[in-house]
Amino acid sequence: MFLAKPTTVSVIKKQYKYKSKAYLDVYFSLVVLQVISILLSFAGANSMGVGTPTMNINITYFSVDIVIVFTMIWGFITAIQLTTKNYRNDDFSFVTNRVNSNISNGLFLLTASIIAGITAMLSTFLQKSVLYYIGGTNFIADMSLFDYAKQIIIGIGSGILYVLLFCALGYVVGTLVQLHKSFTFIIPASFFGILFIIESLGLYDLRTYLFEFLFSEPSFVIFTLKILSIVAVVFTCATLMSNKLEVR
Amino acid sequence: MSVITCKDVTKHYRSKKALNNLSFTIEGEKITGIIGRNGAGKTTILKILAGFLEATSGEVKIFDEKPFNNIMVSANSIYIDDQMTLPSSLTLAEILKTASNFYENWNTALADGLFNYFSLDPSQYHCNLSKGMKSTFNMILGLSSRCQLTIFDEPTTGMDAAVRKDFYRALLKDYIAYPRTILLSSHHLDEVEDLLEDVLLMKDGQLHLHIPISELKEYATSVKGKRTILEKWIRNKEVIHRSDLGAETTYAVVKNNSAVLLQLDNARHEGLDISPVNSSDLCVYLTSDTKGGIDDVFS
Repeated sequence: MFLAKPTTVSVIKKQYKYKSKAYLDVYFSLVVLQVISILLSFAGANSMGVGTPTMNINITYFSVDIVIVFTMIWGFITAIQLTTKNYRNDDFSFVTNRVNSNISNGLFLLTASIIAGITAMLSTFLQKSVLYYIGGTNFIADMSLFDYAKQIIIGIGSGILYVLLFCALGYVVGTLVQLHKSFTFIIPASFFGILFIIESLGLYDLRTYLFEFLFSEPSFVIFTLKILSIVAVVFTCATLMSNKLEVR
Repeated sequence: MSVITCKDVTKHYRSKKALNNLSFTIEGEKITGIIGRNGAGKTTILKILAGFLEATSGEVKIFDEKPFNNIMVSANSIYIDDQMTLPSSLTLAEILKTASNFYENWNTALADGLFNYFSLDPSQYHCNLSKGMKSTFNMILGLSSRCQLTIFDEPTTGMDAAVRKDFYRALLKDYIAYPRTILLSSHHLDEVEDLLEDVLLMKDGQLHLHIPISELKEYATSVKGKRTILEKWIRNKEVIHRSDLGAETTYAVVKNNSAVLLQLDNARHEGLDISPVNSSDLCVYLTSDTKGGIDDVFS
């Protein structure tokens, strides 16, 4: 009797390769969502006007924040989708076990986050091109080209990390729902419940702290470490929780 | 090394017991039929063997390893049923290619040959196939993967008679070309009995019989005749099934043993009709809860 003896690494590699191909659809929804959010970014820009009898200055701030936010939501939903029964069962139509399935999902989401983070940040150029060629807007450079490039790179890096963070959150939420359907109600209820408690008890410090912890870290290196460690913990939890989950 | 060892396997779905202390061993390369009524636990045990479900208690070993969460077992076994989900974004050709990447023993020539024979469209998507086509494609996947443990759970659902026949033939031919352990669960024992070497009959989550098909064919004898004579004759014999055919005629199935075999001539002399029982009917009788079958409901 000849028995195949696959190693964990080889199975993960094959699963990753298969998922990269089978889940291509998620990038289609990403493109649609980013186009919509770029359109929204024109409408949602802040503007400020200063007027004197002889002169009128109108300052409009355009940013791609909304594209990043949409991409984060996309990451959250995509990750939930991967945890659903059909996707899980598909894995088991081929060779896998639960840990390998989770790891290959994680690797796929990492790849998706990188692609999504880059495209989200680069949408700023698309936005500016549209403003320049169609809107006839001129831009004022407020920093050197070197600083600008540096800012874009940091922007891409943090964009990727935020999307990855939301993928991880979506993944754990999706896994909980797979463990028990009641989490569909428990998770949103406790999320809003906690927000309510924070508001009603006046725990503003806690809210500010959480917000600053995630969104206002000045050092990029520390920020990266923070996000990556949260993601690692969250993914490990999801993997451990789903390790006994039955399929089909 | 035995391929499958189950010892006191029990499986609960919440409060319901799907398997109840099931024990059996399958050694070597053979085709075993898993036969039983609806709800007997066939699918449950097959899914446990494939590593999809985990037994509540008891010991399951495939190739000497526990199947749940085991990549070695996963790589050497395939479970085919009509509810098999395959990625909806991949075409049939891409699914075959993916499968060939996963299964080391994959036989591309066989897969392509069967695929063309059943004239499937390589650019189709699995979710758009008809029920019979789906089963046909799944069957191709199951055969071509050439896994040491190949499990077919009701593989012929939706297939028409011609495709079913082709499938049984393909299964047998490929099994001869590449012997492996095949488990085949089916409601149509009469269709598959020529393929099977062993039969594993299940009832209420327990093992009822695990014998070679040849023994099953000689397991019992049916007797038909005048009720008064027949009743006298079947006394002290193990009656598996009994039903009244008319006002005076009764049909009974008795388990064979040396005493029964010795008395067959004597029964013929008394005017009773003696004939062998077909295996499919026998399995129905063996697994029925009441001796008279559905007639009991109406009497």
